[in-house]
Amino acid sequence: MKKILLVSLLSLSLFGLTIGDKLDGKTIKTLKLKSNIIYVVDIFASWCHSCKKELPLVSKLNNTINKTKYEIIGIDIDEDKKIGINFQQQVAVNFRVINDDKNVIVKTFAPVGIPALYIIKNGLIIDEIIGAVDKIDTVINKKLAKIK
Amino acid sequence: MKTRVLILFLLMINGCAIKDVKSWEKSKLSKDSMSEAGINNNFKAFKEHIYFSKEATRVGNTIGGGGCGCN
Repeated sequence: MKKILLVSLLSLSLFGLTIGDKLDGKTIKTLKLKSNIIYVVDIFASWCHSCKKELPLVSKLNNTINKTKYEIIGIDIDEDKKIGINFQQQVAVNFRVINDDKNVIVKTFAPVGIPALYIIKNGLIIDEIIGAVDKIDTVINKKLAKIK
Repeated sequence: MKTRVLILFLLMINGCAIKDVKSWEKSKLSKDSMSEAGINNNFKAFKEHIYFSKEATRVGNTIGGGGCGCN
């Protein structure tokens, strides 16, 4: 029993959240997730060059999605909040952003790379895109269209 | 007894291991000053030029021009 507990604790520290994992209540509360909306959670930072390329496309997607069905949430993981906010203004982010300067949220998701994008429905991660992807807006759109 | 040894062993492994840098901890690593060449990118080209020309004399990883590092 102790061994199982030990192994599970060790494995928890090694891996982050992935497809099929459910978010804990605290994270759902922090992100203010509702049950009837599909969320696209985009984790980014000002020092991430790929994020700089992707964010305008995600903002463009935000203009076209059905807001009653979907919502895009950005998680800015810059340790300096001012730098993060300046960056968001610079790339003209037009969706809700949570400044995770204490890195609490990103540690919960623990992605292997940045940018990291998760599609969440009813607190459950149903899809993810880790790392830089070409034409991210089209890719997200296709993934959202597949969700029933 | 076995469990205690196992716990001790795992703690020892954890203590000795070089922990990998997590994705959210890479802000400092992504700075220009953290690159081999430093802040100035021209210096990188200069260093590469010397490296290739010097290595070419000793049959390095490429067949570069010259061998004195002056061209």
